Amino acid sequence: MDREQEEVVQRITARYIAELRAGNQPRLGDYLSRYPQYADAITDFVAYYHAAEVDIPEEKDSIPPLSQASREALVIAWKRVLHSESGANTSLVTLRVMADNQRKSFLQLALEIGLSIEILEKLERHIIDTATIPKEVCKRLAAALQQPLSAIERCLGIAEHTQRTQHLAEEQATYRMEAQSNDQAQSFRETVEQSMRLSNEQKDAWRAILTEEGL
Amino acid sequence: MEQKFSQIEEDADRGLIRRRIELANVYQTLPEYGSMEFWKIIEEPDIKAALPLEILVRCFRLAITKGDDVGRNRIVELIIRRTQVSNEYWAYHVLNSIHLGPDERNILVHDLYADLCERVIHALMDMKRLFWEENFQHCLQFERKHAYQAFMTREGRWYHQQGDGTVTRRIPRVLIDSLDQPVMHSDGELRGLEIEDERAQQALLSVEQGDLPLLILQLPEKLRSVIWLIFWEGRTEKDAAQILGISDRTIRNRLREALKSLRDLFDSQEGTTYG
Repeated sequence: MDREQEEVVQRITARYIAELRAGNQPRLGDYLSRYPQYADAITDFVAYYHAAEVDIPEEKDSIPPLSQASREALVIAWKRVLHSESGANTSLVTLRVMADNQRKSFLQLALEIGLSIEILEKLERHIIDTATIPKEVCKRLAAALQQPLSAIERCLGIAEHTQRTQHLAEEQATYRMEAQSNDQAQSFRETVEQSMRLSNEQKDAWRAILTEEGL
Repeated sequence: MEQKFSQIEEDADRGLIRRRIELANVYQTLPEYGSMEFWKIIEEPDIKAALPLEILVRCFRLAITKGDDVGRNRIVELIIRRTQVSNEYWAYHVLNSIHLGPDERNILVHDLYADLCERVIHALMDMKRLFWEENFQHCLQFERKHAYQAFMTREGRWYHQQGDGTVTRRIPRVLIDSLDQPVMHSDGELRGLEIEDERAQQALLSVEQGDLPLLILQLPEKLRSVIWLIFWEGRTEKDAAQILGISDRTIRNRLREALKSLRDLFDSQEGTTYG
């Protein structure tokens, strides 16, 4: 289960738990009927919750100092995290965070670069095939967010994609997996065409940019 | 039933929207990041006046984007302080079912707690995990589940191990009683489940209803929903089949498979006891 699917399951099970805590005696069957595709994951969490979480105490009135046990666990955890982060070439920064830093809402950012908010969301979530995103999008984002172009490309996964493609040319099996996942991603052009929020003028402008960039 | 559930969903959606607005309002009114006023509010010691944990998550992420490692660590420490009572209780509680010496228990609790902290930090650093900014406690519970399951698998601790090396499983009586009953099938035929192993049946007798969730966690994933629906919610096989969109026969097969898994647990118990 990937991160996005897990977040869906979290939202579903949060409702179950909210019902349970409100004393409503929710029936798991209702949730499984509604979300059969997540049945196993929902049951897994609910069984775990009943086995391990129901009696756990809540926060006290005042925040206690860090206990010895917590301090030790935290030190170990940070060591492991920093070790793994140093080995991974991952970007922690998202468009939303960059927009936050500029005190801009996501909607404001979308308007500023001539896209709709749903397209911006898709870019943020990396569900648009990175090979089909025009350079112009990155340039506009860089200007609006006052970031270097490379930071925007990294954030959108474009730099990562380029690097991976070069490296994967040596590894056919992995390359195939990558190709499969890209097959499921939507192209930028399709996203623009299907958008209900972009005006015809905006769509025409993006079509021209895409053609100009050979996309 | 469908209508009632839709109503629950609508209520939940309304509640979520309200919550989002509240959190957004709180976040928008925060003083400038890094100012003395900012830290004063962030580190408010009174829980009733303290910022929601969801806001601390956003502040933690803001610290990362600003490259403020000191601020990032400060906020994580605060989050751990705010949750340490429940986390420490949890770490002891979930390992309570394992028979261990005090020293070994302390070491394992310590390991498990460190695993959890690591998972939490990773999750907080992953800015795409937006639900942490909406429902911190639920996300924390999810992380505890992952930490617990990974830990138990890694340590090979899924069974209750006793000091003399024996392994015992306590299976809910209601499960055993039900498995022993013949069940009416869609074709009208009554068929019972066979419990061939008398020792397994004996072991199945020392059970409590409250053990069922833990037992279910140890079954293969595809068997869990069936067992939950029939033995926890008291649904019929037909209901369970309808809910899961599978045939009565598949339900029955999964029940048999679950029983086989239980037998395997008992076999491993014997191996450990006498082997």
